[in-house]
Amino acid sequence: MELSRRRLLAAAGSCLALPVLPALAQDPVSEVAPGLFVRHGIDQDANKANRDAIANLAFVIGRQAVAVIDPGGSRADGEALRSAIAARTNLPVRWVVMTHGHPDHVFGAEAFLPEKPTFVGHARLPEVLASRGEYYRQGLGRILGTDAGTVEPPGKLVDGKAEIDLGGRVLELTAHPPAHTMADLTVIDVGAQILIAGDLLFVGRVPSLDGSLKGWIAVLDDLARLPLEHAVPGHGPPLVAWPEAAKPLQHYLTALRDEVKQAIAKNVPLEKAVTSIGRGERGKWKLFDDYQGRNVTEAYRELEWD
Amino acid sequence: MKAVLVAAVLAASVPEPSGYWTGPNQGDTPDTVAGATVIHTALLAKLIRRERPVLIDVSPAPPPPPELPAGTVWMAPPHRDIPGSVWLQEAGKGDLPPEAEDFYRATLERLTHGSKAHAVVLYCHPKCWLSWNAAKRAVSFGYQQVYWYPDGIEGWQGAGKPVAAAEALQPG
Amino acid sequence: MKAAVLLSVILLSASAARAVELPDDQADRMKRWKDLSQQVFGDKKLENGAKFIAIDAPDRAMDAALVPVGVKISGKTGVKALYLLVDDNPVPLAAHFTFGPAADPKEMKIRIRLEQYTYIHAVVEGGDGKLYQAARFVKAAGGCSAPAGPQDEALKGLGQMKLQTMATYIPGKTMEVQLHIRHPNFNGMQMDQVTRYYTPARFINEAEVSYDGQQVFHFEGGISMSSDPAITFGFKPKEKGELTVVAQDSKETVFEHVFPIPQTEAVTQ
Repeated sequence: MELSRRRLLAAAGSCLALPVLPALAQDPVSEVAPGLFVRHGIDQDANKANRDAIANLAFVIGRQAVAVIDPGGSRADGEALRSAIAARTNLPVRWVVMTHGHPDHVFGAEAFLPEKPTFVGHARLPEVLASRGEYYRQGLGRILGTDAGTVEPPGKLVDGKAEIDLGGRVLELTAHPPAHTMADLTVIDVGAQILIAGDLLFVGRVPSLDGSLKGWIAVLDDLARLPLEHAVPGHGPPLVAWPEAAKPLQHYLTALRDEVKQAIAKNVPLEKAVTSIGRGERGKWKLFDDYQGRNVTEAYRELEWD
Repeated sequence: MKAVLVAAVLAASVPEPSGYWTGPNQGDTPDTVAGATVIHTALLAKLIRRERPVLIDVSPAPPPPPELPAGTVWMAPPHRDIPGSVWLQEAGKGDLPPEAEDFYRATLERLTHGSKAHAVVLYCHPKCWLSWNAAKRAVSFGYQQVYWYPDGIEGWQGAGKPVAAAEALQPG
Repeated sequence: MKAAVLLSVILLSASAARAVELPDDQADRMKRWKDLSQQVFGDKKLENGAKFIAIDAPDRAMDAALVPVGVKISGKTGVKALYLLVDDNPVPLAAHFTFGPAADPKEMKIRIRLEQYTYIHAVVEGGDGKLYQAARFVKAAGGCSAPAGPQDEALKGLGQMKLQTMATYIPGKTMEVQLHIRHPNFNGMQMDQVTRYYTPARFINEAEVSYDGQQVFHFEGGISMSSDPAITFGFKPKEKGELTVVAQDSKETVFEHVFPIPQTEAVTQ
């Protein structure tokens, strides 16, 4: 049974699927830089066949340990990721970093429990998981049964910056103010000089607003100034040029902000705005029609009392 | 400011507390409950077909916020669980007040027709201590065939099994 | 069961009359509505209002904590009151409007929180004193438990109001406006992650809107209203006048604002 992600996450917003690619036609795991691997997310809605493996997941192998960045969309997905890691190294997974709380990124956490890693998240991630975890689990549970998995709250919280050392391989974590969600983390693989952006970066697929529109615009401006040349988006190709790959997203977000501000000033009611705003962006993003309405709603909520 | 994160070793599976759990409802639960059998969905479905056990859902329902003005019409949102269950919202508490304990005991007595050998299944949600407590308590009442279903309503529903609206059983 | 299904189809409002996917537990839902309507309206009969009451709502909400719902009442004179109920919410009575002489109740809009997939009912008290009902099914979930964020942030600007004119001002013609009141409308079911307690309920529970000394409407609301309540309504302005809003929240804090009509510019207190 297919469940449209929009249906699953209309209460919560999410990072969502790209259009359909041939399922597993090629190995979804690629080494985008020495020791940095990305499991490319299938571009579909969550269903039994894809096990909600629809977001990009990453792992970094150091000399002593492995860090996972986003454990997957379901326990089954997490187990597949864990196998992919085990196929490449005997080193233990010591860290599981959750870039934010959306199900396609975190429901794989349970699969890593036997390794007893430290689960790491933004200081506000527990709040997000506590309020949404149950709802996500129910929705995913309906599609995947016991393969859905459950949410694992972070044992270590990041408020500002933090560092993980995998043995000659350092990851720098940054906790951001509200942007895509209220609890976004990005990771810089210092050795590879690559930004693992989580869902702060959507490429090709329409972004989903579940935090703060103005905040997201500001965070992207900051991140764009980083002296890095590549990034791993939460959805999109496994590796993209930085900051060029963020430009369409920045354009989308600023256009949304400006159009919504205008609409509010012109007294356009919300019910009309959800279908009229953003027409100029429509052709550039997959699944635009499924998520634009929600993005407009969230932007109204934020900007009406600006 | 940089801080070095120290690898924290998570505990092995949660040990059974000696008494009842009185901490937050949600959390990692033990793998066992002494005196009862842990059961999962497939076997539970078989048990239901074969033996018609007493099914008790001890999920909590959020109480009305105390600040609501007098006279506000409050109707707890529909609660759906394993068909044929009774819904005893209080029975999973660790520190059970005497009236609630009596009610639990009496309800079990009634539903098992006074037979301590009758199969009884306790459940609530995944990672929820309430059903663990309720199973332990049923064992303490002398029931010999107590099952604890830790997968809960979501596990049942997630396996594609139907759920039905439940009516809360209250004393009085 | 069949009768329950038929009944719900008949009651579906005019705007939902196109093929709409009905939930499969109709009997349970009809029972809950019966229970609920009994509690709110007592033994008073609810006539079928589907022919003249149209409920405008998305089939699937984009944000369960902010669902715009509109009710259009056509061809009925002397409408006295409108009730909006969200069947599966814990406090199902979302809003109750009683209309005064300055009102034109033909279209009212509010924003609500939905906790589960649910029927929304609109009940209109006509000039004949009878109650008429219509229903619409909306899919959304989790709108009541979504956290409210830090309290001090949420309480900023408490009670500020603004009025948006949704159509051109023509004296003598009904003017449609949207009133915004800044208020978190805490529903008491949102957990504060810092204190681990539920943020106590505090919400706009009453508002009186009048124009030039005449009542437009009296509003009674509950925790099913979204935060930053926004009410769209119509009233009949004269050449010049003032729209007065007096609102109160459940902590008995009173907020007042007077809007000159026509507004010279976007006015926010």
